[in-house]
Amino acid sequence: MSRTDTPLPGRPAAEPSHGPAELRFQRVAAIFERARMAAASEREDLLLRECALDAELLIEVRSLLAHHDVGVDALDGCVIRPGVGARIGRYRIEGTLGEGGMGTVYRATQLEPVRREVALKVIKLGMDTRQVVRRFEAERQALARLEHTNVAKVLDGGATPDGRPYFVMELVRGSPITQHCDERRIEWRDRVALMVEVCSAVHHAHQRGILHRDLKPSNILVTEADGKAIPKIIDFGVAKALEPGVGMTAASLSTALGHVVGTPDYMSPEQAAGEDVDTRTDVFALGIVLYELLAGVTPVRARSMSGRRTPSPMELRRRLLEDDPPRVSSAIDEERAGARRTTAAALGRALRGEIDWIVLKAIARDPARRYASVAALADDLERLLANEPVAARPPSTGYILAKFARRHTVALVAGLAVVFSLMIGTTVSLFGLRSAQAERDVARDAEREQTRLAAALRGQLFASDVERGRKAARQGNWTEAWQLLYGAIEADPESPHARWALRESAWEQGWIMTHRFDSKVRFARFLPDGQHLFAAETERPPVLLDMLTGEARPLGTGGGADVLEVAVSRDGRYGFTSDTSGLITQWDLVGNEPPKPLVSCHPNRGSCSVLCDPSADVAYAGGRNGVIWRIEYLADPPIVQAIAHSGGVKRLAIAADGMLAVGDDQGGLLLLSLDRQREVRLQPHERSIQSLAFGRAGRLVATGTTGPTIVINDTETGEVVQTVRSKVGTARNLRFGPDDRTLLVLGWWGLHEINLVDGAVTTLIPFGSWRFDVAPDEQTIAMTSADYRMLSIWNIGPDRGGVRGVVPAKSVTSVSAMPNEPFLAAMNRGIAALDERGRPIWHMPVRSARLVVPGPRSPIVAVIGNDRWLRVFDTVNRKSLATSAMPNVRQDSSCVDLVEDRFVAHGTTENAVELIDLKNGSRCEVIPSGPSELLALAISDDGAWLGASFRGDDNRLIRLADGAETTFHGNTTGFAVDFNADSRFMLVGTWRGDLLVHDVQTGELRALVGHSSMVKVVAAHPTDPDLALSMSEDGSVRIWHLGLMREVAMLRPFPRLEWDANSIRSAGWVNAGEGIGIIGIEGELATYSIPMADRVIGQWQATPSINVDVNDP
Amino acid sequence: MPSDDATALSATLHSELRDLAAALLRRERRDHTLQPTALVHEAFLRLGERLGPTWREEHGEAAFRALAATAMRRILVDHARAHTADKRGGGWMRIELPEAMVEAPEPVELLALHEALEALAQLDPRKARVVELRFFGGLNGDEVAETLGVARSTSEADWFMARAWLRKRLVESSS
Repeated sequence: MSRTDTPLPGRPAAEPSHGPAELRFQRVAAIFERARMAAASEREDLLLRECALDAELLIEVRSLLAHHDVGVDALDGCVIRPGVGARIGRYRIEGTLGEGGMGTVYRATQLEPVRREVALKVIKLGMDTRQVVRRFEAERQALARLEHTNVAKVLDGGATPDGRPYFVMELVRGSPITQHCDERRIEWRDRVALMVEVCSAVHHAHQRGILHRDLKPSNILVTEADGKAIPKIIDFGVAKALEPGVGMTAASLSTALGHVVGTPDYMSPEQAAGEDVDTRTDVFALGIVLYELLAGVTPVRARSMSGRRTPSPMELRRRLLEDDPPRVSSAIDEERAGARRTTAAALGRALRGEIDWIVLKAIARDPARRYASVAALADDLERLLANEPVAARPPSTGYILAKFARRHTVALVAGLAVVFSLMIGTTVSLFGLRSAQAERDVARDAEREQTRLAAALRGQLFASDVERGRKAARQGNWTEAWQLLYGAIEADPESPHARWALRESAWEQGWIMTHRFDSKVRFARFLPDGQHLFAAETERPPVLLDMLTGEARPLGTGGGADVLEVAVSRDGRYGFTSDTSGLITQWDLVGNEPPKPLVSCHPNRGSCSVLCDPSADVAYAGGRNGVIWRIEYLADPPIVQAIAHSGGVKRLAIAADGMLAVGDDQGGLLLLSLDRQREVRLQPHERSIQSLAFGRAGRLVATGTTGPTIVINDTETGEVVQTVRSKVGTARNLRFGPDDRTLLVLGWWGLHEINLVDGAVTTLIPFGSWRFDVAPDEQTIAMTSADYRMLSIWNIGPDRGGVRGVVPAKSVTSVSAMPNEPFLAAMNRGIAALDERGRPIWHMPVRSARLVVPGPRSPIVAVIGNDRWLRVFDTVNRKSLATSAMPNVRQDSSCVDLVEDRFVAHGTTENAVELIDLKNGSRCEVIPSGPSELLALAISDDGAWLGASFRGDDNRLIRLADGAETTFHGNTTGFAVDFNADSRFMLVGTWRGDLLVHDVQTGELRALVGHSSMVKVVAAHPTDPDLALSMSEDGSVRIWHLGLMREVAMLRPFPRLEWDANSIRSAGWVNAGEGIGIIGIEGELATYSIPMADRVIGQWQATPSINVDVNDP
Repeated sequence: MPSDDATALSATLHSELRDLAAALLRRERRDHTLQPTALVHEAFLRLGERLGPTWREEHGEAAFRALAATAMRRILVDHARAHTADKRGGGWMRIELPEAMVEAPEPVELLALHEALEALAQLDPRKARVVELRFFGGLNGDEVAETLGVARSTSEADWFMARAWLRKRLVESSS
């Protein structure tokens, strides 16, 4: 049999000739099989016994066993469906749940944006994938609204790389409802009760306009929680997407008819006939399931039980269309009655009568004769359980007439319901609407009103989804947050509300950036400057990546190597790579020296590690051949010498005192002291070492292996100090915390911090990764993604958030966020622009600068000196534009504003507002003398308006063309004023925390609520008229969208205890409005980059279809 | 076990599959879009069409895939050969299966696997067939046992031995 089935040419067609090779192979196979089945402890004895005196045989079987022990690899996969570990979109296959007519259902892990277990259904070949995906997309919104405990949510859908549609669903661990009931021998009443729950879920979906179309026991799973059976309906929306449509090939159509849409047993006659379906189609299917639950067999099969022959699908379809089904009560036999804890006779009696009627009514061939809704079916079932009279009636002579009446009653009731809903929406009077024309008008108006209401409702739902997402993110409930926020941005990619909420959460999580590579990148290391990273791709030359700009500079040209590890010299001058070919290469990161191949660690593929000593100009390397090399890389040519030998080198680590640790592929650990006088060999693990780290104090060394165990040894005594069960899977990378009391562990699910004292595990970054490196600031982490295509950089510091810096010198008197640079500082001897980290970009000498006030858009700044002189500078050309002595100037930045390079408005010590034309030095008093203390002022960018706030709720708006003045009140004093970019709104931040938005044209005033205490800064976006930010004493900066008139994001970069919430000094838009700069009370700087956040969001939105390598080579 | 007419069909299909592979390859060269993954699925579809709509229903999915396994192997091997010949002017080169097709710490080198399977078939044809059914046909242990008419434990033992043997050979031939 097997040979006629192996038709490759050249294959022997006869029995295997028992030549010496074949016989030998059979012998090897037999011993291999016995050894494989034997316990590990007995294996060696068995081998020695069986292979007595035949060393070659022994070697061969041993080698085969070693290959067997590798576990699962590519050969365990298969070419026609994804194997375990394969990636489909953002999902990784973990195993098979089942195979059905439609295709295969897998258990899978969603990898991003949240990690969770899901069920993934890959549809068989033969469907028009684009059609299926389009139909699914069309239904997606509706499906997202399905929230019912008895409905498994459909989460996602798409196409596999080879073009088959797939659907992703909530994973339900349960068995089909029929199987569940039979296995537990559940009695019929409880079965009916279970069906009532199922009906309620289906009805819920119907109310949202979703039909199931393929209800059957295998789509109604029952799980048990706390001893209670919970039915869960799966596959909602799937059948619709899979309906045959135009564009299908003949072959796929026949597949569809045969398998895909509906199993004949549960298929309604109208479905089988290809006619329109409605809610009553689902009623029919539920009726059949109920029938099967009660009788143990579907109606179309009930007949053939005596014949013992399984009817063909064609035969089933014929019966479905033509025969009247037998009553439930007559379809029972003893065996099935037993499964319901009763006898056939007793069950028959119990089911005869009303329940027969209910089922027959549900599965009537004519949809008009069925229950009009699933709710009606559920009602009748509940009445049955409560022993009340049911609505279903046996067929009688008056049947047709009665049914006719019933049908019209239904129509009447439905009509009333519509009118009712209109009344609620529009208060239309029902009186006097007699004429058909009037009715049509009402209907049309009502329709319009309904459309408007629906749009408004959708808008509200959308906004509430986004706000719920923001709230969930703030509470750290990432699963919910991502679902809501990414759902929102997918529904409306243009929505600023959703966009800002995502930016907020990206910032909140500490994402700094993500860089996507063209080919694999396994590892990246920070340079000592903490800003650049050295990373190596497999198909391109290594790169130097600038974390702030996201730019990657390739080091040379040509192809790459399959790099495993990288290292950076302590001065950041050289980078080193180790690749799978065993080669260690030195790269010049600063100059243009060509790459230098240093040493080959092994002739073939395998692991290979390289590392730099942080306290000497020396690198170490080792690979599969076990030789440890010491590299003096500053020498020219570099000096490379072998210093020790171990098992195949898997990982290297170096302690602060220069002690070198070598983890090998047998689980062994070699510790070498700096002077190489002392060598300690330990065996912490049985399997290959995957990760290795020294404690900061040098006395501890931690090793992780395949599996969850991390062993910590004492480097002096070699004793095991602690064994940690990590609970986070294989530790891919390890690092001790600063005091050796915590361990950073990188597992498949993310980066975790394990407290070595109490064992507590904190997840710092919720995404799986391959390796990580920590920047010198101990806060910034770079991780390569688990699929090697991405490098993401995170801030894991206690405050997370944006890029951090510190105002450099004590001589700084004030700092502002500046539109064209990140920050601007006023210092004793001048002003300086500062970058995100607080490093000076340029410096200009200015005498006794006290305050700098940046203009809204231009690079012009006003500087107020201790000497009460006002100086205006052009910061691009570094020149002074005007100087003016102003003995009465108020030294308060909120009371100075600039328009272009020409006008300055400032408040005086007498609370007057003065406007100066710097071109000719002319001055005028716009407000001669204020009513009370002047607190803030601003000029609109178009120069048309001046706004000022005085103590005591007195806000003035002055039209500069004619001096016309408007006063408005917000029931609280304004402390900060600005105009938005198109000069339409005057914005006032108030003592109570509200943001007043005053429309200068219409005089309309709105108060936006958000802050809980005094607003100190209001800054309109330099170009986008819809955006403004405010900073308050409550310690937060909020972003406002003036089109939506709502808060869209909140930043709290320097959280303090509540009683000391005043943690921010100032805030503003930086880098031409592409970022937000926040200055802390202690001089801390935080910069939030919008493009950076958008890049991150976009990258996570795109679903890469790439595979994950399971093992490190 | 597949019925006799399936066996006969398999024999007649063999030459047709060659043609099919060639046709698919021509198409691939024309539009340069047909990846091995898509190739396999296209072949799968065409095989289904060739057998007719009822064949699968009558004989079952496993029987269909058992039949398809050989076709898959044939087509992928031809594809790999044509591809290498194309690229390197007839020179011999290993072609890796794309990662999405199989779970892969390292992708399977298809021609190397094919060669190794040929060698295994010389020593023990059934073990080679077990690998073919699983890897190229996607059959699981039970289906393999049923297809070959052996006990589940036998098909399991065959699989483990064959896998270890192939791994060993593939590693040795690559170094």
